[in-house]
Amino acid sequence: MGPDEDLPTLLSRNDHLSILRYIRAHKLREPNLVITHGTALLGYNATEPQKSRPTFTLDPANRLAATEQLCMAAIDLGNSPLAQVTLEAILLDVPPESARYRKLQGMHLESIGNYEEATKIYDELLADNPSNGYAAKRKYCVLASQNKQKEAMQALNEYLEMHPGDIAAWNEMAEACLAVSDFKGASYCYEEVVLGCPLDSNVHMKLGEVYSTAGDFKLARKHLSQAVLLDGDNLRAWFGLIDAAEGYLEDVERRSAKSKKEVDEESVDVAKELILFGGEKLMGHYRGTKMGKLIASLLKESSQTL
Amino acid sequence: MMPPSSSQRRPPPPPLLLDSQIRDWVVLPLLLIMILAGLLRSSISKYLRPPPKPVNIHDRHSKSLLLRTSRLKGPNGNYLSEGRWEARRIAWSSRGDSSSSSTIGYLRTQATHIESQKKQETNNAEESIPGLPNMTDPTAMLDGMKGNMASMVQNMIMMQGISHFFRGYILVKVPFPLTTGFKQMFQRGLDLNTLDTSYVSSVSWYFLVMFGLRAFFRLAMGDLNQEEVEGIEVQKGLGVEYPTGPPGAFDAVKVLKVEADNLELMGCKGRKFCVDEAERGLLGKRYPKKSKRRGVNDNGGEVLFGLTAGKGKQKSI
Repeated sequence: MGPDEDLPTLLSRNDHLSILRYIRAHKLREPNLVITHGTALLGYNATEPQKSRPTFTLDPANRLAATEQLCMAAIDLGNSPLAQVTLEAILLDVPPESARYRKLQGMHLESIGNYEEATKIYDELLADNPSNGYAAKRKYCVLASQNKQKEAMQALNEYLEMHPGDIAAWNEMAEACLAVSDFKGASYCYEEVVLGCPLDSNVHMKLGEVYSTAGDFKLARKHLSQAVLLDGDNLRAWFGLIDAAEGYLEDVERRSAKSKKEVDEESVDVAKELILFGGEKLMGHYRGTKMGKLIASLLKESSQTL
Repeated sequence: MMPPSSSQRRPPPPPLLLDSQIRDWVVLPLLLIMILAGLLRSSISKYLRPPPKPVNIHDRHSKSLLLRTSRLKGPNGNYLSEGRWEARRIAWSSRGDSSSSSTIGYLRTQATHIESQKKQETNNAEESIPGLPNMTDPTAMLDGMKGNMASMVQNMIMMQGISHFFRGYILVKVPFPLTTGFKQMFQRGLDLNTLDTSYVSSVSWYFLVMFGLRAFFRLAMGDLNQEEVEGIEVQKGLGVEYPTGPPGAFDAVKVLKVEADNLELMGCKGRKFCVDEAERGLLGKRYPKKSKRRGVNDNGGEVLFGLTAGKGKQKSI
């Protein structure tokens, strides 16, 4: 889908329509580009939207799609006059009860801070069709942007009850859990995200960090190892791995001092090896930089505890 | 020197001469008619296509649940550690009577929840409109068929017309010999045993062209353009879609129960959890070698016989 050429070629040719289609097809978030080329294509005036003279040369499907895109970009950049003008233009071709139009309208209201009206629109949309996932998601966003932590989490929870397959929502939930220091909940959510995108190094890293914070060092080590396996340049994961391994050693020491239970020696050896290996890798990354000395002294400290 | 058997064989029948009038007045017009009819059909079915309908919230919910379980069942599941994977599997599928966990699995509770809600909805509907049987909305049944109707009706009429006007015509000869097995396909409407199979009758020509033109139509009318594809995507998010198939074909309750049973029967044996092997993979040759304590599972035995992971989850935190 989308134009065959890549974005730089299209930009150099100044092919407005293809640039917009490319951005849509690849789901890029480039509001500035969209404003530049969308206004040029459709004849809007970004600085003084009231003076726009929209052209109608494109066929309706293309024009509506581009206008919607332009409206979203205007909302994204906080250019609410332009968003208002494009919304009015969309209304020329589309009935006012269209769900797609009302969603845009709601987002515009959100962007100018009129949360009550926006919520009203989303509630109406949900009453019309309870399967409307966008409206349920936006309701959460309205609450989140007002910093109503508890209500936002409730709304997100409601959404996830109905749409448990939505990975992005699980990720959002994980971050919300982290914000209230609910590490157990966050680990559950991140596990769900891992199931959705198993090859993303960052997700494994975050899951490992959450486990590590919650005190489950063994699982933390596994996921952090997976993170650096997937992306060897993920330095945060390397640091996390060293930290988790150290945490594991301390944990084992504390427990064996308390209950004299037998220690899984193999796992201890692995943890020590992980610290050394991770340290070497990190040193390799920082060699020759200003940070090098600092990192070296830090790592030396941790390797002395072995 | 010819073998004796060949001299006894019947001489090949003289080739039939097909009148060039047949080509000009039957073969080519038929082709033209079919192309025009195909274009007409596609534009008619576009208008007959029913508008997108809101998806039933229960259907959407259960489809989303299925998406979630399919991730666990598929290769993605290998990126969780064994204990966590097993804990999820049991939490979603348990029947509540086994010793390992006392609660009924999530999928099963969702299934009963949806079932009771549906029952309530149909009860409400019956109260408001007494006498209307549930689930059978005749217009909804019709909607799914409308799109196919146009092509079906058209095909029937065309076939009748052709077999009426051109009965018994031989239109074309394919330039290669064929076995008698192709008689059914190439000489429909002709009952001549002695006729060579490479001659094509009028009705068969119709069929050949009908199937052969599909690729041509796809080229001529083009696939969906980008805006249409995006529109369908947006509709999915808005919870509406074009109805496919008759209503009630997707039974949310049944599907969820089947999925729970499937999960129940899955085991972590035979699965390779790559997260559990990640440390070994990372350290490679530097992984410390120790052959003792073989019997102890890496997770401290929490998944003994694949049953006790529910408790192991708490232990491991």
